[in-house]
Amino acid sequence: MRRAASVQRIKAKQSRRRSHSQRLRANESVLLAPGAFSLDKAKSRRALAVFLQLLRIALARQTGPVRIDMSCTQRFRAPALLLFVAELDRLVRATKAHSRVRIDPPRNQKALAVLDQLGVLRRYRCVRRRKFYAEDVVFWRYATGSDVDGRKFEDILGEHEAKLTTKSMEGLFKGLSEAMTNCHHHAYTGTRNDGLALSVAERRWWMFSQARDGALEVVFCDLGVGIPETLPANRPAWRTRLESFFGQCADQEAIWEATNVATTSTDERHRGKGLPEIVSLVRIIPGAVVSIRSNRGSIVLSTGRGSGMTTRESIFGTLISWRIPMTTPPEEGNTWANR
Amino acid sequence: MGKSLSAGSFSAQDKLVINLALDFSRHPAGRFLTDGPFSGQRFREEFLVPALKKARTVVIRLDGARGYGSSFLEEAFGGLVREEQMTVEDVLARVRFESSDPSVLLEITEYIKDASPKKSQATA
Repeated sequence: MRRAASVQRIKAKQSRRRSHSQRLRANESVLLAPGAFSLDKAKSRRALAVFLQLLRIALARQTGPVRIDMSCTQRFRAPALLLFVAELDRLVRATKAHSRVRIDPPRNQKALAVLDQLGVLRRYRCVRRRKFYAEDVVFWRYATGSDVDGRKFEDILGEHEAKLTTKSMEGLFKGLSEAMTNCHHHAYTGTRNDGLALSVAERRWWMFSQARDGALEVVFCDLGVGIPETLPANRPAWRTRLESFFGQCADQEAIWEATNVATTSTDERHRGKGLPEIVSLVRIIPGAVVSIRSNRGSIVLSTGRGSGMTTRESIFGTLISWRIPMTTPPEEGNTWANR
Repeated sequence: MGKSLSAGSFSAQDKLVINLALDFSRHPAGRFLTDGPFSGQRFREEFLVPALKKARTVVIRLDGARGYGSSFLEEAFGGLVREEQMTVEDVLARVRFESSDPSVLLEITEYIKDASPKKSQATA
C-alpha cells in the first residue's frame, strides 16, 4: 500500500516535470549556428552576422529558453569565435539569462574540443558534455575582465614565454594593456548601435590566445561603439568628410586615421597614443601581423604592408588580433642606463 | 594635486631606488586609478612622489616588468610635470631610469618633455 502511494507520488512528480519542460520547449527559441565561424569570406561573415543578430533578438526578448544548435558547426576562426563568445556573454550578463541558454554541442570532434577547452560548454549547460583531446586545441586560452589588469596577460600568454622573444612578449603586453586602456576610456562612451539599447554599465573586454602552425595568435574584443564612432571631438566634421569622400569605405578610413593620430576623443595632447602603439608590433617583430576590425571596417598590417576593406555587415564592436612567429628567445642584453 | 616638489622638500637622503617590477608590479598597465590596480597615476602618487619628497635623486629600475604601455609611462612620469607642478629640468635631474631597453628610456624622456605646459601651448 505504502509502496503504491510512493510510486504514484513519483509518477505525479515526473508528469509535472514533463509538462513543465513541454511548456518551456513550446516557448523555446532554437538558433542554428553557422557551419563555419569566420570573418574572412563574405558568405561566412554574412551568416555569422545574421546568427548574432537573431541571438541578440532572442535573448533581449526575455521570454522562454534559447537553444543554440551548434551540431552542424565544423570550423572556428579565433576572431569570429571570440566575437560569438563575447556577444553571448554580454547578452547573458545584461539580461541575466544564464539559465535560459543551452548549447547543443557540435558533432565535429575538433569543434567540440575547442568549445570544451574554452569552457563554453560548461557555462551554457551543454547537454552532451564530453572531453575530447586535440593537440592544437589544448593551447587555446580565454580571459575576460572589465578593468585594465595586466595580470590577465599571464592567463593567456604566460605559458608561451619560452617560445617567444623578450621583444615579442613586451610588444604583446604593451599592445594588450593599451587595448584594455582604450576599451576602458573610449569603447563604451555611447550606446551601441545594435538596436537593443541594452544598458550595460561595465566596460568589459574578452581575449583569446591560440598557438598554431608555429605562430601565436592573440585576439582582443570589446563590444562598444567602435573606433569610427570615437573620432576626436575636436573634429566634429571628420565623420561627415570621410563619408563624403569614401562613401561606404568610411569605417576603414576611420581605422587608418585612428592608428595614425595622436589626439583622442578627449582632445588632450598627452593622450591618444594607444592605437598607434597597438599596431607598432609590426615594426618591431619581423613576420608579425596585426589586424583591426571595427564595425564595418577592417585593416591588416604586416611589415611594410597594409590593406583594408569595408564590409556590408557590422560586428558592432572592435576586434584586434596580433599574430607573431614563435621562436627561441635570444640571450638577454646587458643593462643599459640612461646616464 | 597641486603639490609642489621643490628641491627643498626632501630630507638628508641622497638617493632612493625603486625597482618597479618588485616594489610595484610586474604588470603595470593603465593610466588612471579608476582604470585598474597598477596604473600610472597610482605609481606616481604612491611611490614616485613620496620618494621624491624623501630623496634628492630617485632611481627607477624598469627591468623585470612584462612591458610598459604608453598610457602608464605618460601618466606616471609625464604626470610629474603636468599634475605635480615639477619642471621638466627638475624631473630629468632628479629622476633617473635604468633599463636594458634604450627605447623605453627615450620614450619616457619624450613624455616628460612633452608634458611641459609651454610645449603644449606652443603646439596647441
